[in-house]
Amino acid sequence: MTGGAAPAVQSELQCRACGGQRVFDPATQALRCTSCGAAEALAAAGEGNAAAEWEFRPGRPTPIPGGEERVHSCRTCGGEVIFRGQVLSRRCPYCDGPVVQIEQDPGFRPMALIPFRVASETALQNARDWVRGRWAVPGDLMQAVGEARVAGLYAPFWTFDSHEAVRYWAKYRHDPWWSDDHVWKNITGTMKVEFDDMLMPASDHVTPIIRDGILHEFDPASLHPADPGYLAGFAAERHGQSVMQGLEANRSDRDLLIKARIRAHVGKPGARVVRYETDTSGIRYRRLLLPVWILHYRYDGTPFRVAVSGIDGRAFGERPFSRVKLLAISGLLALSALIAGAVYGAIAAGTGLP
Amino acid sequence: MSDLYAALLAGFVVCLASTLLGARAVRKWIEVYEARREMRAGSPGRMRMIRGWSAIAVWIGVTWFLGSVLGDWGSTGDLDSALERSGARLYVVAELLMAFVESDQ
Ligand SMILES: [Zn+2]
Ligand SMILES: [Zn+2]
Repeated sequence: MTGGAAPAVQSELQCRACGGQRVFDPATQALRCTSCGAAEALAAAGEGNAAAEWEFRPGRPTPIPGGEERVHSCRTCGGEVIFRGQVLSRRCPYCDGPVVQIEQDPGFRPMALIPFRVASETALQNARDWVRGRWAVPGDLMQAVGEARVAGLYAPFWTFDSHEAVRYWAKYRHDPWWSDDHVWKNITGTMKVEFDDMLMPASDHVTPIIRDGILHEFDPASLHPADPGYLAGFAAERHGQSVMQGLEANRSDRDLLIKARIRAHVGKPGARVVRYETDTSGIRYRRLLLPVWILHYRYDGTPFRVAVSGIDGRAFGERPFSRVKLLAISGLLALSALIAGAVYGAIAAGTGLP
Repeated sequence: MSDLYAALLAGFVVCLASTLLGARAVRKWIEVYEARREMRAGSPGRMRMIRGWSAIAVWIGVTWFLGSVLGDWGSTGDLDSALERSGARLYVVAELLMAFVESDQ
């Protein structure tokens, strides 16, 4: 199925000096010509507003675009550039020229982005180093990783703020574990929780686990307007979900954080949250693109990925374990525990210890 | 003397079983270690990766306890008394492990 023509930015991305293709260069933060090397800093229009947040108003259901295919005919070579699904930016398959699509629906348009600062060579190095530093990986893993390359992607994210007025019911053990009594004490309480800039991935490329591995600090001050120039030469994906769906996806993270705050509020070791109610207000959001290098590799037929933050180069990802190595470590620890137990048992038999 | 050999044989079987069952716990151990070092402090992903760490304590604790019974048996040659003596120890170990499991959430 072929959809309509794709409104796209392309000629603006071409070199003013020689007409060559220009891509965003993380090292200089400028558009750089791949033919003559001329660089041009990106215009800072609307720079001050990039970190603005929007109030969430529930109600209006939003249809999600992206099911259709959009076709753009390349201004340079005339080839067909097809945008499938949530793809916002890609290169022409025939001439390799960067093409950035303009999102028509303001309900899905990215509001801001953080540009790539880490170059692909560094990202590849960091991804390999991450895999090399793992314990109990198969011996031939680096071979599988060595063939893989990194791909730069502006991945869609949300930030959510909210105020939570929480009322909770919890319980904790009144007596320490070594006493004979097992009395649980019930406790109820109220507390306020403020969430600020909770990051939520809006695409399958970045899981919440990978997010917490590579994005350690998010600074709204480094946001820039979502100018097509930053996307030139990189892949980019738009948000394939409405704000409501983003909030829904964020629910389990929020639940985990609220429960942890309640346990801290109770302040007793091993406290359990029985249930809680929360009155959520003041929800604010941003629709962002964040730079991520992704290295895909396969081991034994299973796909894995390692992600590297395009902001500071931090790597985190997925990897296989070597069964043999796990068993070897397990055997060593089991034997140690068994011998320690046996020594203790022999001593206890002679001395009357428990 | 045959009690010592029986205890050693039992120890070998326990060690083998514990090794096979422990492979998962070792994997969890590595994941927890990496999550604590590399994932953002207080993040939901880190909490999810660390959750379940008590399986490691249970695995080591149970292996240690079985070892203590076998050590007693092997040194005294009296299995019945060894089992009897292990009763109080089992109680303490079980309570301690319960406390670990409860605080793992
Ligand atoms: Zn040029
Ligand atoms: Zn082309």
